[in-house]
Amino acid sequence: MPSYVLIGLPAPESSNPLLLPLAGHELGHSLWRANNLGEELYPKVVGAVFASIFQNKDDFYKTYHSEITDIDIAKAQPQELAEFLKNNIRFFTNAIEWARSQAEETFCDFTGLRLFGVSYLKSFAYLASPRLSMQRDEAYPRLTTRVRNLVEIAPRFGVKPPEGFEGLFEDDPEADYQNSMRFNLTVADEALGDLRESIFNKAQALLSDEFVPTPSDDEASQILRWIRLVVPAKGARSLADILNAAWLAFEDKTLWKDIPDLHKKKDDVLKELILKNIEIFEIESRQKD
Amino acid sequence: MLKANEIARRLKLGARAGEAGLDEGMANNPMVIDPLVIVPMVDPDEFAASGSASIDLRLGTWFVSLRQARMSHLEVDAPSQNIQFAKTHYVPFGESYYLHPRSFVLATTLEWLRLPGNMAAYVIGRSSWGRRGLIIATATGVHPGFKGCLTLEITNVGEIPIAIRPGMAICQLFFHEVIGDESSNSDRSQFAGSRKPSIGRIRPDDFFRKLTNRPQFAWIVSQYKRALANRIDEQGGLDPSSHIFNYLDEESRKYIEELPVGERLSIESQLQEVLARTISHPAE
Repeated sequence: MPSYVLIGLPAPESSNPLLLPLAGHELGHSLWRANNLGEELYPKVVGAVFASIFQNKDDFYKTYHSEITDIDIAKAQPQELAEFLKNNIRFFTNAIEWARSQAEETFCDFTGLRLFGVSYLKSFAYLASPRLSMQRDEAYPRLTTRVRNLVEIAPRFGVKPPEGFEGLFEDDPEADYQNSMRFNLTVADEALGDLRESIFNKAQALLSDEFVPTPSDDEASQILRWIRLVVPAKGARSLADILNAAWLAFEDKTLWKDIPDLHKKKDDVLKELILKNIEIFEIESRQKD
Repeated sequence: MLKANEIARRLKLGARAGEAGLDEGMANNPMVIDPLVIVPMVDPDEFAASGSASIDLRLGTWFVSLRQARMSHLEVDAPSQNIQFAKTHYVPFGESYYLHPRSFVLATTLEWLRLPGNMAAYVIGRSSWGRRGLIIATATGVHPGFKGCLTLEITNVGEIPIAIRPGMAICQLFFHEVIGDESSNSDRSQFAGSRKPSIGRIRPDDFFRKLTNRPQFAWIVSQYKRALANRIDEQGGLDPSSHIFNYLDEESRKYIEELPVGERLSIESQLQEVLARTISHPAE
């Protein structure tokens, strides 16, 4: 199904429009593949992994000195070590694969953030705070790293993260790796830091303003005014503005307090109203076409 | 009943209700504070020019069909039965729902409607469809203050299947002004705030219950209320996932189990209501 983005959610959340921004992350995977970003960034990934090995030369020596005999790791000059790493990439296939995969996931997070703005952060927290799972998947950056990357990049996309956002998360427990596996994971995690700027640049270039409108606080406030009247907004500019308004409404505990029968079932009615607003947005788009 | 130019005037004011920075006079206008809104919007000027006293509404994308089931009949007060015979369908724009002769389907209007506290409406079929055997809406009144998509009850009383398509104009809405205290005109419909059709629930009222209940039912309900109160005193609360029978004495339970199905469902539903109310308002 080339025109669809599928997201897996817990069954009770399957019709919750507040979590739609998470589709932005999945769309990021499609963008990554469609633009061959894995291939394009591969040399940078390998370079970042090697740079991380250089920085962890002592641990590299401790981990591999019994296996690697054709070079004296401790005494090798940088040029010599670089040549050796290039010719012995098999020792670091896990690190390279993990770093590549973490780069892709980070790109997807930036895609979600750029497309949906603050509602991406809120839906991410809704589903992933405080932890994602019982054990960390190394294909993803540590949860706290993901969150820090999002928070630090957010202002560059014009997004103000919710207050205390970083404090909502803690890392998933990691597998008890020893020796080379542990070393590979360490360098992969560190390599991601070097790659972040390139990943951001790619996301920014692919998702320019002329392609996707930047979410706007003013537009979200305008839509929120309609939500307060229990009416889907007409003329919404983007799905992101609707969802950002939806989150503001969801967080407003006094919403519809003057209509007690609606206030009692506020969350259910809000979900219906937002789904209808998305349909109205589609109808208006088709009418323009 | 409101005429085209008056409906158009109210729609125009309603269209401004969500705007920021309205001047004071406009912001305090009752028709802006509690507006009439229909989304997607009808063009008020075009509508006023038409001179029509009703607004056409379109068919939405969600349907609930009632299928055949292994049931001898429907009970008034048995919500679990709804699951057995109701099926929800989504029909995208451009596709059709084929309604066969003597079939029945619930649908909604494409439009989300917001009625102010001083207006009511009636949904009526369009004659062009009626002449082809398509009957729309049997429960036609829309109360003041209603917000949501209107549920349509659609039947094909003709001889050949009819393809109905989301987006097509299917019914019309006549508006009336309501006289009286507006604050008491709030819609309390269980269907308010919904964009999909639903079967809903029929709740027998106290009048009906008192006519049909066995004398023992009142005694069982009062015993049940006492048992719940005792449990709250002893344990500080009730388990929301509990089955009603968990708090029922053995004798009453046996009595209920031996009742004919209709009466059993009725008393079970009364106990369920008592349990739900006690869980949400334990102090009462």
